[in-house]
Parts: sequence; C-alpha cells; structure tokens
Amino acid sequence: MPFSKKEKPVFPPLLCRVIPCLTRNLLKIKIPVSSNHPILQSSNLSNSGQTLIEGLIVCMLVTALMFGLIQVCILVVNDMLYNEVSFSATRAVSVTKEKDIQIFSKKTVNKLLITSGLVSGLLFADIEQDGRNTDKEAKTTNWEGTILGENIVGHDGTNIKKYNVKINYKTRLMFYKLFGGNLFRQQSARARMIKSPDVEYYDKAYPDAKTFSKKQ
Amino acid sequence: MIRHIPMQKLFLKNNKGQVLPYFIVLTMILLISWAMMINIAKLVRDRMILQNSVDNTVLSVATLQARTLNVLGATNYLLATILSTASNPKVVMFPSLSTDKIAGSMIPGMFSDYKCLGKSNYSFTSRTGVQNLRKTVNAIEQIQNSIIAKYFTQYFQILKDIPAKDCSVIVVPSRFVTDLKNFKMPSFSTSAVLLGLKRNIKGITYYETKNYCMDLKSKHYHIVDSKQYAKDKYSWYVQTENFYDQKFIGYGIKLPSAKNNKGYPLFANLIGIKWPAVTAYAAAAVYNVDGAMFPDKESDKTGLDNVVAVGMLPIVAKQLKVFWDFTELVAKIPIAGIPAAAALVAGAAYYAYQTYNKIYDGLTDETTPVRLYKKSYNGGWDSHLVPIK
Repeated sequence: MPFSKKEKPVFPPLLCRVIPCLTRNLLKIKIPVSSNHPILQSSNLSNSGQTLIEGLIVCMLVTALMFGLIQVCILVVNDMLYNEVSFSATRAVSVTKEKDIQIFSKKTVNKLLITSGLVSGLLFADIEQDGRNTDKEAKTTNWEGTILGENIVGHDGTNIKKYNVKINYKTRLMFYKLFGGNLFRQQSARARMIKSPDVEYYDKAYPDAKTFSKKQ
Repeated sequence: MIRHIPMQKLFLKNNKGQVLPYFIVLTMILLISWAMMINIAKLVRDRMILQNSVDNTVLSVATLQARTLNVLGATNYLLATILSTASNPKVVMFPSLSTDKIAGSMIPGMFSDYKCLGKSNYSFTSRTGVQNLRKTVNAIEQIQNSIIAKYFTQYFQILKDIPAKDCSVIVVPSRFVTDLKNFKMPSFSTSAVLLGLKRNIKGITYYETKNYCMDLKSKHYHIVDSKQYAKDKYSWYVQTENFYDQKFIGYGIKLPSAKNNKGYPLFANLIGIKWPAVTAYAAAAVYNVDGAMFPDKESDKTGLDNVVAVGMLPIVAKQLKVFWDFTELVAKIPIAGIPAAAALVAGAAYYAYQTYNKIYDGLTDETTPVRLYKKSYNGGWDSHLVPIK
C-alpha cells in the first residue's frame, strides 16, 4: 500500500534503500518504504543500483569481519611462535655454562627468531622486534628467591636459581589508521626454568674425571 | 533499430548471489588462515611436547642411573666393609684387608672363627664364621645383581612410559655414541656395562681357621693358622675404562604417520604442504661432587672403616697378650729363655707394627671401595640436564 504524501520520511534517502533490505533479510522485519515515497520522488531516485549498494555494504562488513579474523590469526600465530622461541631459549639458558646469562639469552633468542622465520622478513614481515639489538629485545631475568615458597639449595649451599626469558615484541596491526589506534600491538612471550646448581659438572661426572667429550 | 537488452537479462536471471563470489573468496582466505594457524599451533605444540618428552625421559634415565649408582655404591661399601673385618691367621690374628686371604672376622660375632673351647691341648678347625661371611657377601652380590636387573628393566620401562603419546624417544649412554664400533648391546646379565661398571675379577679366597689351644702352667694359650676353604671369582664393582662418561643423549621423534597427526595438516592438498617429522634432542648427565664412589682399578684391597678399626682393637690387644704370656713363659727357661723372650718381644713389635700399618693403610688408602664410598656418599650421585655438545 503506497504512503500518503503527508507522511514525513523516517530515514534519509540512502538508508531508505538499505535498511529495508537489511531488516527484511536479517531481522525479518518489513519496513514499508516504496518508490512512491515523496522524498524519493522529489529526488528523482529509482530502484536501479539498489543491489549494488546493498552488495557494497555487505562486502564492507564481510571484509572487515574477515580481516579482523585474519588479524586474530596472525596475533595468535605470533604468540605461539614467540612462546616457542622463549621456551627454547629458556631451555638453552638452563643448560649453558656461560656466565653472562643476559647476553647469552639475547643471542639465543636472536638465533631462534631467525631460524623460526620471525625476523627473517620471509614469513612474517610485519613483525618488529622491540628495539632490536638493545636491552629491550629479550629480557632475561633470574631470581635467587624461593621456589614454591621453599629455599632450595644446591650442593654448594647457594639457592637454586630460576631463569625467566621474556621476549617483548610488537605485531603490526592491519588498518590501524581506520580506528585511530596504534600501528603496533605490544605483546610478550615468556618461559621459566630452573637451572642445575652444579654448572661445573655439565661436562664431567666427578671432580677428577675427564670431560664427557674426551675419548680414551 | 537496436533492441535494448538489459544487462541483468543478458548474464543473470536476477540480482541474487552477486556477493557470493566475493564471499567465497574471502571465506577461502579466512579458512586457509585458520588452517595455517591450526597447523602451526599443532606443530609448535607437538615440538614443545616432544622436547619436554625427551627432556623428561633423558632426565628420568639419568636419575635412575644416579639412584642405582648410589645403591650399588652403598652395597659395594657394605660388601667391602664385611670383607674388611676378615683376619689373616698366621700364629696370631692379623687383619687381612685383602680379598686374597679372607678368614674369620677379627671382630667377635657370627663371622668370627677365632674360637676357644677352653679345652687343653686341643686343636680344631672352624669355618662357621667364614661360611657366614661368604654367605653374606654372596647375598650382597645377589642384591647387587637384582638392583642391576631392576635398573635394566626400569631403563626400558622409562623409554616406554615417560614419552608423551605418539612420541618415540631413545636414550643412549654417550660412551656408546662416541664408540659405536665397539658397542655391543649388553645382555641381561652384563647390563652393569650400561652403568659403566664391572665386577672386580680379583676374586675372593676364603680360608678356614685352625685354632690351637694349650694349657701350660695353669695358663691358657691360643694360636691360629689357616687353610684355603673356597674361592669366588668376583667381588665388588669397579669402574670400566669409560666410566667417566656419565652422559646420556636422548633423541625423540614424532612421525607424520603418528595417530595423533591423522587429518593434519589441514587443507594439505589445497595448500600443497606435507606434515613434517618433528624431532628433538636432549642430554642429561649423572654427577657426584665428592668423587667417583667406585674404585677405578681392580684391586684386592678392601679399605677400612673407622668403626671396624675400633672393633678390631680388642682382638689385636688379645694377640699382644698372647705374645706377652709366651714371653713370660719362655723368659723363665734358663739360658735360652732370654733370647727367646727377646725374639717374642720383637715378634710382638713386628705384629703391632704390621697391624698398625695395615689399619693405617686401610684408613687412608683412597682407592679402596670403603674409603671411596666414605669420601663421596655425602655428595651422592645426582642428575641434571646438560648441553648436548
């Protein structure tokens, strides 16, 4: 049934075309808007291009949704890979004889990141290390505090140490300008492990023994 | 006149499905992204699980090795300590401290054959003590054998039980990895090789004690002699030549054909990828901060514990009294008495000197099983993860 000419338009002209379509399809609500509407008649608008606009808006929404999900995928994959790198680095730290753990852990993290393809520019080119080659790159901390509330000591009487390798990194976000947000999302990955208190016995079994690698 | 045909009629019957191709393309991209994410997640998860599996397995084997070495060290000590109580009867009771001659114990009790029935001019051979001693030593050796058998089965039990599902892990002692040409898989009976140990082939020679009793001038005199009774081939455990290498190398693999990998990688054909075999390595070692605990050479020396040394003193004093009583006796003989008494005093001095030297050597010789255990049991064998190279 056509509208009377006295009725005022509820929606602006463009939305008059879109909203009925969306509500009809998605919400199953019918809003009676027809080509006899005074606004539409006065602006000489017709039904042509209606589908194009509908399609455009749906495409925009679908594209946003898809890229949003892809962005989540990238964040999750980065998180997993960096966690794996921090796990491997912590393990390496927990069995090293190097005295400067900080430098060793940074070197190990860098090596692992390259082998993982995270900073090679091949696999995930949109990832940046936080301040590459600086102290912020991979922060390794060690505590000599208690473990599970207990003071656990080694043979030499010193506390057993926990080691924590934390990697701070940033993932570049897609379409960040649209939302006025930051270019990068700050993320971190970490792993912890306990180191053997008897580092000097990493390569020999007892005080006067030959080293493991030495052949008879 | 050109007839106008609407575009709609030219290609499509109606407007429906215009967004469909676009939607399909984006959905495909999204699905592939998800598939990649799930594939990478599974790979990373598999690698972490496998690495933990290899770490746990290799450390468990090393811990088993450490515990076995501790128990074997303790039983070695017990065995050598029991043997160290043995005597070397030559007129008087000398401490033996050597498996070349093991007679009844120097300490009174169930292992002693120094027995006096109080009868005059009477001799008898006693082997009860040395028999008990031999039985005890053999029982300890049996316990050691069962410990090693348990170690052997536990070793393979760990390889079977500790790794996560679908992960295969093998752990090999490093000394076999570096010398694969000479490696022979040890049998059940020779599995001590896995620990880097072997039996001391010096063997144990047991002697029975002959007791001679006599009463002279209302005094009782007791002298002894010995005769070989039995010989056993082996004694305690000693190090093999590569005992120093107490490192284990663990290698783990999760094959693409593993049950858990069924269906992976997602969209393999579409993306054109194959699921790789995931591998991981780890190394663990056994160490003792105080020493090796086991003798590095085959030797007949038992060593001596302080407590056993103290326990020997009464019988040493008794032997000196025998010398004193004889000296008193012979001193009364005219003419020849004095030189004979002097000879006996010299004999007593020789006995005291020999006994002191034996006991001192037994207490200070750090290559014997007793002293090595005493030196290193505080540290004990322990295990830890070590670098692979």
